[in-house]
Parts: sequence; C-alpha cells; structure tokens
Amino acid sequence: MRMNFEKVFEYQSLLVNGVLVTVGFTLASLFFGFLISIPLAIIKESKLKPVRFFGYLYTDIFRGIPALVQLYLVYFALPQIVPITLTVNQAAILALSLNQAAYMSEAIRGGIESIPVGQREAAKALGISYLRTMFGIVLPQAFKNVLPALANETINLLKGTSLVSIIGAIDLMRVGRQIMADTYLTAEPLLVVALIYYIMVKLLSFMTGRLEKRMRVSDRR
Amino acid sequence: MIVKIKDMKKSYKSTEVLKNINLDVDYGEIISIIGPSGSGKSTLLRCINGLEHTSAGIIEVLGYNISQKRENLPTIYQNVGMVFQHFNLFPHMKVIDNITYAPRHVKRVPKQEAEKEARKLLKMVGLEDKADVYPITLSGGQQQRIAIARALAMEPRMLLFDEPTSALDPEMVTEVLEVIKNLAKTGITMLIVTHEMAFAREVSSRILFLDGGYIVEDEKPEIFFTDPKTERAKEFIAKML
Repeated sequence: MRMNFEKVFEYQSLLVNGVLVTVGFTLASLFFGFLISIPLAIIKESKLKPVRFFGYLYTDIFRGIPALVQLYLVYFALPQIVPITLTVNQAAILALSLNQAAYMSEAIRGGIESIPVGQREAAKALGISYLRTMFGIVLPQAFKNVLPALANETINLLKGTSLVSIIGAIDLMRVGRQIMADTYLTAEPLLVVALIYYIMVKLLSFMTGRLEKRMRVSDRR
Repeated sequence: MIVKIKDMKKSYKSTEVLKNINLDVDYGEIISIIGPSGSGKSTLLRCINGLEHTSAGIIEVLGYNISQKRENLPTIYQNVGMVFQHFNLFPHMKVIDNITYAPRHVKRVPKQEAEKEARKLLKMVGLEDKADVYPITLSGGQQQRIAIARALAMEPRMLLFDEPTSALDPEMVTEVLEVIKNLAKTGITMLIVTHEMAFAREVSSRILFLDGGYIVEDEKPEIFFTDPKTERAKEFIAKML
C-alpha cells in the first residue's frame, strides 16, 4: 500500500481555512448556544409549571431529532415557513446553537440542582433578589461543577460542526472532500482531516482542563 | 411589638408541625427557643422571616403582615437577619465579599463604604485578618462568626439564629456563643433556637419551650429553669442539664 500525503499538503492553505471555519462555527455556536442555555436552564427550574414545561419541551425536541435533520430543517424548511433568507453559515450557526443550547441547559440545570438549597436560603434571608441569587451565587458555583460536562458538550459540538459541510459550508470536512475530488486520493485527505480534528479536540480538552484548575481556587485549603 | 403571631399553623403536606402559635415579641427582647427535636423550633423561626409560608393565622413582623401579604417579604428579608446551622457562606466568594455582597447589591452601598463596614464587623467577631480568604479555609466556628458578620452587614432590626452551634465541634461552640452574648448587649432583638441550656439561661430575657407544635412554656429563664410548670419541660430540662 502506498500513501501520497505530499499531494494533500499542497492544499495547506485550504486546510488552514477549513480549520478556521470549523473553529469559527464552534465558537459562534458555543457562544449563542450558551447564551440560550442559561435562561433555558433557569426556566426549567421555575416554580411555574407551564414555564417549566416549555423548557423541557424545547430540550426534548432538540435532543429527540438528529442534528442533521435539524440542520436541514433550519436551512431548507425554515425559509419556506417564515419569510427569512439564511446564508449557509447563518443557518449552520443557528441550527448548531439551538441544538447545543438543549444539551448545555441540561448540564447547567444539573449544576443548579447540585448547589445546596441553603445557598439560596441564605441569599433570600439577606434580601438578595431571585435573579441576582441565580447569577451571582448559584450559577457561578454551578458552572464550576458542570465545567467538565460543558467541556464535553463543546467537544461534541466541535465534532458535530462537520455536519455543516453537507449543506455546503466550507469547513474542514468540506475541504477534505474537495481535496479528495481534486486529487482522486481517498485515504490520505481523510486521514489528514481526521488527525486535525483529533488535535483540535485534544487542544480543547487541554484548555478546559486548565480552566477547571483555575476555577478551583476557592476550594483549595 | 416587633413580632406578632396570632393562631399560626404550619403544615407540610399532611403533617402539622406548628399547631397553634401565639407570640408577641417586643423590641430588644432576647428569646431562646428550646425543645426536643421535631417540636417545630426551626420552623417557627423560618416562618418569622418568611422562608416558610404559614398555613393559617397571622404573622406581623416590624408591623408588616407577611402571612397574607407576600409582597412584604422583601422588606422583611432586608430587615431581619438569619444565621443558619450550617453557616451557608458563599464558597466562591472571599470572606469580605460574602459580607459586602448583600449591602452592595441590595442596598446599593458603594464598595468602599461596604468594605469599611465589613472590616468593622470582622473586627467585632475577632476575624479581622480573614477578610481575603475563602470560607473553606476557616474552621466551623470561624465560618459561623463570619455568617453572623454577614447578617449584621445588612443592619437588621432583628436577628434569628437557627441552632447556630449545633454543627460545630465542641471546642468551637464557646467562640460563637461569645459573639452572640456580645451582640445581646447592643440591644438588638434576637430569637435563638438552641440546645445550649447554660447559654440560653445566661443570655435570654425569655425562654420559649416548644413541644409537639405548641409553645408549652413562655417564661423568664430563672423561673423556667428552676421551676418549670409542665411535666414535659421538667423532663426536658432534666435530660439537658
């Protein structure tokens, strides 16, 4: 068996571009997904049943439908239902964010529930409002507990971005397929792409590990 | 009257914890609430500062009806301080931030001013050197003293203590009781749920003995501890002393 990697590396700049696009999708979806997941987690902890129900319904739907189907729905079906036009990148980020929010909100909800009720009672007894208690006291502690879970979700997100190549976004996966088409090579470009994804995941888990350590300062004696 | 309770009842689902409570507390009184576990002591305290909602009857605190008008609760939270059995300090904040958080964010006291006040309170509880450490580095007794300082930072009209020394190692009980005794001299109204009989006798102006959801005795400490009226109180005192 002969391998020809040299030909793949001729597409270096294209690969770099693909990596940047993949990282961009990951960061954007992480950001928006996170932004949506916090109110979603708080909604799921609400005392009001209909409010709580909405939170769980959202999560249920987005976790119950394959991400690829969601991507298709957002890119192809949504413009038919509501009068908007989405570029490939916008649709990709929207679909990934909505999907990511469902998973992250579950992790954050678990984190909120892991904080002893005494924390909220102490805050209440001091006159601190519900929202301030959530954002100033409960969530900061919850994040520390769920950081490993969130890191895990982020890694899943990074890998999941490869789906967007199917609707035509020029991410790392798409670049790999393009190299395959251009060079008539199969194993080499795929192996290179796989290795790059693997390195990105390792880098990400290394970074989150560092962050976790730093956030443990208040636990240290 | 700082607290007025009339025919108050409190149930959790089908169990009635407080059966018929009538109680008036005057400004400046120091009341120890004692009784066997499960008698409703903590529940009574938690009803007074609104952490629990009563099932029936009327509670007025600082002249505000809190049993019927829940919109009065924020006012009560801000003016009634609570010290918990398990301290409940915020572990992700340094000691100084634990103390200043509520004044800064509820009463909008500027940071500098709040910190100056916090340092005074830390000095009062004997922990002025601990401002910049995290709670986990402190002993239970120290954490409870910080919790007292935190409650005082809101300048409450009344302080409630829910078994403040029950979670402490025996050698740390004294340091916390000392702080409470010193507070007693300031004239602030205090309600203290406690199992420390000698302390209750020394510090209180009045003893409430709860049993089975009722206030069974309501007496001056010297009378209660030497000449209790009910059999139940006699037995209890005999066991505790």
